[in-house]
Order: sequence, then structure tokens, then C-alpha cells
Amino acid sequence: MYGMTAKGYTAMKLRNAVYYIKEAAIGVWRNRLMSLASVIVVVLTLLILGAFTLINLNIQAITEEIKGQVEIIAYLEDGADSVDVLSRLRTELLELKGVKQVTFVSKEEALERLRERLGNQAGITDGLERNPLPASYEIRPQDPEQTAALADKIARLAGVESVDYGQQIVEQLFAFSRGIQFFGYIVIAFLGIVSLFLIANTIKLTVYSRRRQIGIMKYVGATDWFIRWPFILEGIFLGLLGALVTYLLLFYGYGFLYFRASAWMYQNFLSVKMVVPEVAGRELLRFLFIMGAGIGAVGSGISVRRFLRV
Amino acid sequence: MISFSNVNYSYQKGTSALSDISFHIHKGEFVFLVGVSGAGKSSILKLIFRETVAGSGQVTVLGRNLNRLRRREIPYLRRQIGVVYQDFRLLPEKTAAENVAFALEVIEANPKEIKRQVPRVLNLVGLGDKGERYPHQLSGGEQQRVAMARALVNNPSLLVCDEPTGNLDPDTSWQIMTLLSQINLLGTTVLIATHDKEVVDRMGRRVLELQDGRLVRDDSKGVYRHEA
Repeated sequence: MYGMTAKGYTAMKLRNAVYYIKEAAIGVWRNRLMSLASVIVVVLTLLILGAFTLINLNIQAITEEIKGQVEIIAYLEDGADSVDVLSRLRTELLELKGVKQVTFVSKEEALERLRERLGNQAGITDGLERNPLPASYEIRPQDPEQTAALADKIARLAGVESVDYGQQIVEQLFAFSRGIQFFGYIVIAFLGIVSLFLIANTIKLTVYSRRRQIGIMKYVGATDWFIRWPFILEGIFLGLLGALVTYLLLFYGYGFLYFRASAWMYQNFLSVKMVVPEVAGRELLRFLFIMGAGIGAVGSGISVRRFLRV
Repeated sequence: MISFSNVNYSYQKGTSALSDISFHIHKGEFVFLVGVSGAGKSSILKLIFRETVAGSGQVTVLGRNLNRLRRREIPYLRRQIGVVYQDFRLLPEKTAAENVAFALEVIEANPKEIKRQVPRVLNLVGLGDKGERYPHQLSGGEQQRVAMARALVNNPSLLVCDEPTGNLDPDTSWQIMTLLSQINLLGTTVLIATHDKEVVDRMGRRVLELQDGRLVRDDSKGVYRHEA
């Protein structure tokens, strides 16, 4: 009946937005305690989700780093280290599919490395009549997950005595990190659903306290979306507020943990690189805000549904 | 305006609420729907208002076949039907004028239109000077007038009342009925479900009587119940 012209239509939508926001604000304020309760629920769930995200992020980073360190050592047959053989092997290795980088380690270098590793006990190598260590090529694969297949091919090259890439350790590590990530996604999905229903229940209280108003709106002919929007905005607002609080807690908490852990690892000569707080924070911010807004919107959508069936 | 043909309706539990109901209400009529509680009055109103759908038979309201009305079309049907309930259903935190304006705001009416219509209907129901009062500052009869103003503010062609005088004393009831017949004179079709015998007899209008879900009487100038 009203506002059928295109101009009137746009103006009306803007007016609606103002109405929705006003109603959402009234909803939050009138049910302050309930709103606070929902924000706390969101914070608790997002804390768990966020902590899991951080753990996952670090596992991913560590896996990536270890992947980057994976190399295949091809030990050469004794006496195969003539210039001819070496250059032929080098060419063959570089021509293999999936080889990123090839480094030659001579018998002398190998012995030097061993002495370095032995430190002040290096003297025990002095008694050796001849150098027992083989020369080798260290090969970096392009795709660390293809290490086993590549190592197989290298082992078959003429002049290669044996290959070593820490077979089982590498394979187990990949299986482990895949498992952890899969488990992580399941936990995130599960917690997401749980928090969705917690929010839905809290917003249901807001909706319930306004059921008279909704009933009147229904019978004077308001559309379902017109009724729904304020509640959805209210849900999104609560979700985002929860996400913000969670972000601050996790960001500063992680930062603290990061510096503590880094200092401890430095003292103990460990070199596990955690994801720096700035990078983790950026990931976290995006994840938390999407989750918060999503949980709020869907949760409130669920709770309004029942009251629209009039 | 309203047409029921061979309508059957059962509750979800399966008990029959209405069986084989057929009647027509024409534009501009003033009709009472009478019967004891549980006779099926509310089911008929719910069918007209499309709160529920007939199990079989056809319900037509304002030229629309409600059996085939889509869910998203329901709001637009309701914008053409005013409703008044026994318990007024006003929002306590809004003034009389705000309660009336609310009905227009939520159907996205033009604010200028709202400013023009609200005083008009408040005057129509005789509350021109009480728009700024809150429901708790008004008497029962006045609250029902606010509800009527709200029902009328969008100029509906049909006004449906569910026990409008159920919570009111006889004098106030009569005032409300007088107001309803004035509204009817202005062209609005009025359907009133009631078991207020005194009011029905005194008005002498068309009466549809329900008994156990069946239409047992359709009198053009009826009373609540014929002497047995």
C-alpha cells in the first residue's frame, strides 16, 4: 500500500535498518543480565575454540617447519666418488621429478661433521686408520610428503649404496599432524554446535520476554524477516562482543605464553619456533569474529523460529 | 468477503473441531458467531486469519483461497484484516498512540502516513484526548478501544473480534458494540465471535450458531438462542 515507488522503497529500507538497530539495542539493554550471561557463554566457548585454533596453528607451523627440514641422504658406494660418477649422479638426481635441491657432502666433510658433533670427545676419531664415512648427496624434496617415493627412486640409481630419510619418523610425523588437525576440526565443529545452542537458548529468553510484541506484529501483518532482524542483530552484537573479549584474552594470554616459552626453549637449547603473536592474533581475530557473528546470527535465528509460527 | 464451503478441521490430536461448515459473509455485513466455549468459534476465526489451514473444504477470504495461500503471503492477507481480542493485547510500555502507531510501523508504513492516521483512528474510537496515556492508566473499555483503533488504523475491509466484550461490564460492552456498528456503517465488514447473549439479542443482527463444531443456525436477524 505504501512506498511502492523505487525511491520510497530505498528510504523505507534505511528506516527499517534504524528500527532494527534501535530494537536490538533495546533488547540488549532491557535484558542486560541475560545479555551479559550470553556474552559470558560466548566468551567461554570461543576461548576453547580459540585456544584450539592456536594449538592447531602451532602444530601446523611446526609440521611445516619439519617438512622443510626433511631431506634424503643418499650414501654413495665406496670409491664412487670420482668426478665422473659424481657429476653423472648429480645430473640424474636433478633430473628426477620432485627434487628441489642437491648438496654434496664429501667423506672429509662427513668426518668433520662427526667430529663437531662429538665435541670434546672428537679425539676418538684420531685413531682411525682411514675415513670410514661414505660420501653422500643430501637431497631436499619439493613435496616433503612424497619423500618415501622419491627415496625409492634414488636408491635405484647406480652408485648409490643406500638412502636414509628417517623413514618411520617422517611418516609417523605426517600421520600424527594429519590426525591432530582432523581431530581439531571435529572438536571445533562440536564446540561450535554446542555454543550455537547455548546462544540460541539465551536469545530465546529475550525472544520469550517479547513474545507479546512478536504476536502483535504477526497479527497486524509484519513479515517474518521484519520480526527476525532485530533479534538477529542482537545475536550478532552479543556474538561479536564475546569475540572481542575472547580475542583480547587470548591475544595477551598467548603473547605472555609465547615469550615465556621462547625464553625457556632458548635456555634449554630447543629450537621449536612457535607462531609469533602478531600472526597468530591476525588469524585469531578473523576466526573469532566470524565464529562469534555466525553463532549469534544462527543462534538467534533458531530461537525466533518457534515464535513466528502463528 | 468470507466464504466457507464444506470445511472440516481437526486439532492435531485428531479430535474434530469443525465439521462440514458452509456459509458466506458479504461485504458490509455485521455478523455474530455464537456458541458455547469449544463449539468451534475460535477455530473459524483462526481459519479466517490463516493461523491454521482447513483439513478439507475451502476457505476464501477477501477473494483469496486460503488453502493455497503461501506462507510469505500471509502477512499481506493480515494487513487487510483487523483483529480485536478479549484480552486487548496492548504493549504495556507503549502509550495508546504508540500502540496504534506500532501496527503501522511494523508493516513499514510511511511516517507521514502514521502521523496522519493515528489521531484519526483514536478520534474514531473516542479516545482523541487520551493518546498519551499508558494502558494501565486506561479503563478496560478504553483499552479495548485502543485495540480497536489499532485494528482499524490500516483501513482493513474486514474486522474480526474474538469475544471483544468478554472482559467488560454490560454498560461498557454496549458502548463497544455501538462503536462496532458505527464502524460497520462506515463500510467495514464486522465478524464478532461471542457468547454474550444480552449483546447479541439487543443488536438483532445476523447470527451464525455453532454447536459441537457444526453450524446449526444462520439467522439474518437473530437472537443468541431461540426459545426451545
